[in-house]
Amino acid sequence: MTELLTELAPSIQKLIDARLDNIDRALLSTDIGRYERRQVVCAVEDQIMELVSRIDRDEPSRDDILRILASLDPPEAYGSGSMQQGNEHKLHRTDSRLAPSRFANSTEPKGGVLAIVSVTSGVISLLSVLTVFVLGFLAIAMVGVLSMAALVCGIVALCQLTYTGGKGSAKAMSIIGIASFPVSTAVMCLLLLFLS
Amino acid sequence: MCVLAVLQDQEGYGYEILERLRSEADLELTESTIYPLLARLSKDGMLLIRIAKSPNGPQRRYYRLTAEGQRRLAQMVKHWESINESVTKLLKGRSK
Repeated sequence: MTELLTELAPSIQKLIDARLDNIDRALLSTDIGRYERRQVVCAVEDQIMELVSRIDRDEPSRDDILRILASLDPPEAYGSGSMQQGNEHKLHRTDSRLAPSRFANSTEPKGGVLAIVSVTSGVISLLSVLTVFVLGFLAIAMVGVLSMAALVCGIVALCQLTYTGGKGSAKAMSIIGIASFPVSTAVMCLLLLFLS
Repeated sequence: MCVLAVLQDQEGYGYEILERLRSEADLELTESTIYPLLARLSKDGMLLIRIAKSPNGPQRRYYRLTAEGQRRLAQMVKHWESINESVTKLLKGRSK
């Protein structure tokens, strides 16, 4: 606090302190360090005191202080949004025809989240199609190989059992194995027809 | 660059720098732009800060260029002149 500030009426000092605290809070939302934050708050405080000292009165009134504070940038101007938009956003010629609004609404691009959702969904759907494709081929190959094995083994087993007089349950298993070949082949053909 | 240029020949305090930029360069820069910039420049060693009392009473934070700041300003001016020359050449060529 400056020397002059301590000489001000407590109610006036509170107004200034509140403004400086708000600026400090706004700066906290930015990535600037403690040293810089302190420098900025002190610089604003110095400016307020400078403007107070220019008032042609022994003791500044509350209205004087409010007028001075109103002439300064609001605390939000020191916040992260304002700082990240770049200083050039606030730099403009004094010619009012060329000057943009000091705190015009930002036109930040939107739809970033939806774009991420879109690309993620797209990639997952492509992977799913690929998985189904690969698994489908594996399934067809397995059906072909296993049903052929069932057929061959079933026929050979049935022949051996017939010549050697094997058990009835073994014969039944061989017949089921042989029968599975046309059934699985037919089901697979139906499935392929349905998919095509 | 503008801030460094204002302090090239003489030191100045925050509010004075703002006023000089407004009156000499016709640039309406506000304190929320300049003070963080001054703080960063001083942190980076481009500016030195001297705190002194003003004749009116309140203290002032005077900023002046360091040797590093002078070097940086010279670099920035050179770069600016080069850009300015190129753009001017381009615009002149277009207007023909």
